[in-house]
Amino acid sequence: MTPRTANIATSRRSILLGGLSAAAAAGLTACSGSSRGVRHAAAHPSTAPASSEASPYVGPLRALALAAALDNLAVQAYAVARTRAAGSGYGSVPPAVTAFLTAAQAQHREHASAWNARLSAGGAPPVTAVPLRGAASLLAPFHAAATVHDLETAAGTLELALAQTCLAAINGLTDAADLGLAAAVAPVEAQHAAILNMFLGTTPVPAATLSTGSAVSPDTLTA
Amino acid sequence: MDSHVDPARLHALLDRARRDLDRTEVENDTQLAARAAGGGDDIAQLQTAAALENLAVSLYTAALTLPALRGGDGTVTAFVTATRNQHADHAAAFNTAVTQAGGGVQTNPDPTYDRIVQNAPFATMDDVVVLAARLENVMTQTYVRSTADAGIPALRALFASVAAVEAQHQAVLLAAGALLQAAPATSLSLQPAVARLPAAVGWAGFPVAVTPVTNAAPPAEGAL
Repeated sequence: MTPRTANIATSRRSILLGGLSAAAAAGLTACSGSSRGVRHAAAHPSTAPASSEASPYVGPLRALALAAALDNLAVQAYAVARTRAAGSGYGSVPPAVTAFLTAAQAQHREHASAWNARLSAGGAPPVTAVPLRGAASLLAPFHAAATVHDLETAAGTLELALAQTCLAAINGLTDAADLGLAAAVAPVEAQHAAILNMFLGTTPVPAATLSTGSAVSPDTLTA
Repeated sequence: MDSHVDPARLHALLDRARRDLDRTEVENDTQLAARAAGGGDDIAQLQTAAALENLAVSLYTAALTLPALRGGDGTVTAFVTATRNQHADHAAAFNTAVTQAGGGVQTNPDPTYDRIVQNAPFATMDDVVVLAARLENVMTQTYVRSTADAGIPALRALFASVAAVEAQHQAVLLAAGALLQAAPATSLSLQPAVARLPAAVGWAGFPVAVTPVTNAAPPAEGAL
């Protein structure tokens, strides 16, 4: 990737994720340092999102629900991409990109199932849709992409956000199984991002540590 | 580039990359009890992490001396150099954390994997890719487990953020392995023309949906 295209990618990430990540720190603070479930929300009423008063996803469960919603979003995004790719919506799609879309979508589906299993263990219903403010704006690039490069950029943005959201969630989780799942899923989302970086011709592993600057805030969860 | 990939060869390579490094040691009862009790020994885990990172630095430094890595468009050398430097950063981060936790700095390599690395074939590009991918896999799994085991909450983010990067290293190496099945090593590029890539490069880099911990190093393996 040239500096110019790198800047374009960064700019797109900022546009797409700026609104979602801006409140990440506050949202994670709301999830940190306590046990799972309703008791946590009662202990931190001032930091709990107002919309979560009647939500089954409170305390650490909120981070799990957010992760499930994001993986559902990724499944949808790759469904859009695969459909458009099959219809030549991005022009000629290389076999490696087609294979990536299929394999990554399957893994995101598995991730969503795994998050939902943890929600069930915590007594909360599964998240089977995408109850996120700004979901449409995250899907829009997959519809709007005109080239394979556009598609790879959109997917890279989404994967980075998913990886960083998993990492950010770790700060607010205390249950060992929840922590273990977040720790185990984040590397896979990061792997997806690395392969997309290769496709884009940029540095595949650009930093020594994964940051949380593009993490999606739990405040975006509308369920 | 010939886009033909022999599935049998590729799967064999991936299987080698996924396998444990033929471990001869297993967690003993004391370690298992410590894990079951929760928290574990943060200092030991940090020293083990530093020991793994020290070994990775040595491995990639040695790889840079191999004639097999020369040629191509320079992206392989650039990746190996950057990866070595990132592992050095990780070692420094773990050693800083262990110092803050009251432990001693670990400057030696992990003893178990050092023996395995020393005895592994290490001459061709294939050798480097397979061995490095296996070590990255062990490091990823070790830090994933340490994320859940760490008693000091702040250490969880450190282990998790490094685990993700080791997983990325592994992904690139596995994709490189797929590329090696389709092209001679002398033309290997890590910034390839996507249109000419074999399909396998699209999936080889992320072989499992959820990172296991079955190949994680024992928490105290690299402890002082």
